[in-house]
Amino acid sequence: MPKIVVDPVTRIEGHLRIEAIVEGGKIVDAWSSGTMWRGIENIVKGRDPREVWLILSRICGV
Amino acid sequence: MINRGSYVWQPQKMDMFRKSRKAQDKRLYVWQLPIRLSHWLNILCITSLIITGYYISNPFMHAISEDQSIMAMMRFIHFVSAHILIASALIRIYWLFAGNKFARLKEFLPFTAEKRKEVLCFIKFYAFLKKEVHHPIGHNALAAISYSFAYFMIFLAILTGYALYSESHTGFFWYLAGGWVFGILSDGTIRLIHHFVMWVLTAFLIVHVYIVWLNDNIEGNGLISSIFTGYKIYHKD
Amino acid sequence: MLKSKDTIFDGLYSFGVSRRNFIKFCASMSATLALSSSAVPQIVEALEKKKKPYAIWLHFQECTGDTESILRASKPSIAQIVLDIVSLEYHETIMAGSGHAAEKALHDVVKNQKAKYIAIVEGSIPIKDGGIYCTIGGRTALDIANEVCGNAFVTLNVGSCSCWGGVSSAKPNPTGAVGIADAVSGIKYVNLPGCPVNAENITATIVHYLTFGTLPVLDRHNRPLFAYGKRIHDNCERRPHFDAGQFVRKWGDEGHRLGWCLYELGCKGPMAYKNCPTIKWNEGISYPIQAGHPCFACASNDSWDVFGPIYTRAPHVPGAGYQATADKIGAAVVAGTAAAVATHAAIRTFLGYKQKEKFAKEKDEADKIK
Repeated sequence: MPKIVVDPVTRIEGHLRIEAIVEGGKIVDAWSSGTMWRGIENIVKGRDPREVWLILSRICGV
Repeated sequence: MINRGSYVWQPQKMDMFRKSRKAQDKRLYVWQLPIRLSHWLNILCITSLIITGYYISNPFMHAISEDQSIMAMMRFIHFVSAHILIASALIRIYWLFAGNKFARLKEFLPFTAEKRKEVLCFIKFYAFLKKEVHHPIGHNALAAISYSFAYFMIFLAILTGYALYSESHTGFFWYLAGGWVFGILSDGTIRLIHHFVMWVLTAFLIVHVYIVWLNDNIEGNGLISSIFTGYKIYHKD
Repeated sequence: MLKSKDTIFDGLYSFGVSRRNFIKFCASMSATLALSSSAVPQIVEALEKKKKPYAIWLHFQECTGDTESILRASKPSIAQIVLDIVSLEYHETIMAGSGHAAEKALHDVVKNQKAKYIAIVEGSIPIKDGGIYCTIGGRTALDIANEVCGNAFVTLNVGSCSCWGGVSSAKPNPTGAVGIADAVSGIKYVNLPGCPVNAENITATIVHYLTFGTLPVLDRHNRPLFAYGKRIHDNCERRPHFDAGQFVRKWGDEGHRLGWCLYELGCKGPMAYKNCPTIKWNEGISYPIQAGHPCFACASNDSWDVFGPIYTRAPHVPGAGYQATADKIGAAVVAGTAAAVATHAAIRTFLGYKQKEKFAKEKDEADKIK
């Protein structure tokens, strides 16, 4: 069962890994994973609420 | 060994609210002119630095028109006071080496066992645990420590202050005066230290004025007037 | 008549950038680099004659904000200029290939252009737990950085994340995020912090290198002085209001509408070293302070933790909770001291009265005995 791995998936924001099992020209199983984590939700815990938007907006710059 | 004399406060002879001046009182020249000069310059400068410094961090007065220049004036006074404070500090440092025995560095650092005992005595005395205490002629050891602490705070404030000054005043001189600190501490930490010293020095001011008044009252030796005239009065028993 | 597309100018020309616009671009680069106008012919000559260097743009723990910034760089059609001033062989956000094709492009440049290509890095590197918090093509970010940056001629760390960890490294830094220079040792690098970085600073650094063959003068944090040498406070257009003492007290009040200084709203301009007031953003339209929001010193290492919450002026005391400003603690210290002194005075007075009574009693008794 040939497995295709596409990592990195480009022309997106962030890091994405796609794995797929191909049988007879059809994809029978597939996995996707985001391969990067920063823990932004942990970082904002305990902070002044007025600055949370500033940090959370750095989740995505697009 | 410095002869500290045998002057003792005895509760039976003077109560806490009466200063006595008897025939056998001696006038000793303790604080020389540069010491007193430096002290008064310090008071003027530090008071102005605290007030202007507090304004700079927390502008409590707002301008009404654009023609005023409150913040600019406050900063200007702050910087000028800082430079004068440096002059006062330099005078004092020079006098550490050139002055009489009450001006020397040894007075400020309790390195001998005798002085360390004195520190403990005075702590107990202020805590109402001891009835009487032996007052030396110059600084008592506890006061000496507190002044060393205050001078250290002033030094910190000056160093961090010039580090911040070098942010807008470029050039090698300001780098030497304080800009190099940015290689060790971050901007935020420097500002924190500079700001916090202001509060510590205010607390020190309160304690210092009270204790001086207290000692003047107990000793009856003209402690407060000595910072003006330089003379302390001692009673022999 | 089309010449070969090897030189930068030729590449631009073939994209339809006129010579006039090209000269304009060179002039704007000269201004950004804080050079005099006599440098313009030098820049023109450099970009006309020099061959395009190769560049690799790496993404690690980032939000792609710096890429977005460079895609919006101005004067004229800078996307083409960036693509044609350097030969950008690998850029995950805009490149055509993906998967193996992308990895091959990266591998080719690293192998064939060893020590000749520029590595541009966006995003921090996590070093906790073996670096698994950021992997690309099955390799950890640390691994990729060691190879790509280690073999590059120079590494440009764009954005605060790659300079010193950025927002990912804010307390409690769950992934152990650090800047590139802290993760990879022994590389030549230039820091271009900002959140995001101003694209003009990136292009100006590259143009400086192409024109003069050297990197621009760097400060102690390896940031180019032309962009990070002055504080925003010293270049701010609201500075006269600061000096006068006109401060905005509340959002939307009269002063805010009149454009007064944002100092009391917690503006970190006095601590921020960046050229935002000069070159501004989005083709020089505006920047946060001009728009009425205080600066939070995004290019500084201290902005997320050390300076404290962004809308407070007073310095933050570490380890004391987010509401503990130095002012609050300082005031508490002074109040405590004053209270202690007052208590001491009160006790003294009380003891003094007691002693007076005691003496009076003793005197009475002595008199009685007499």
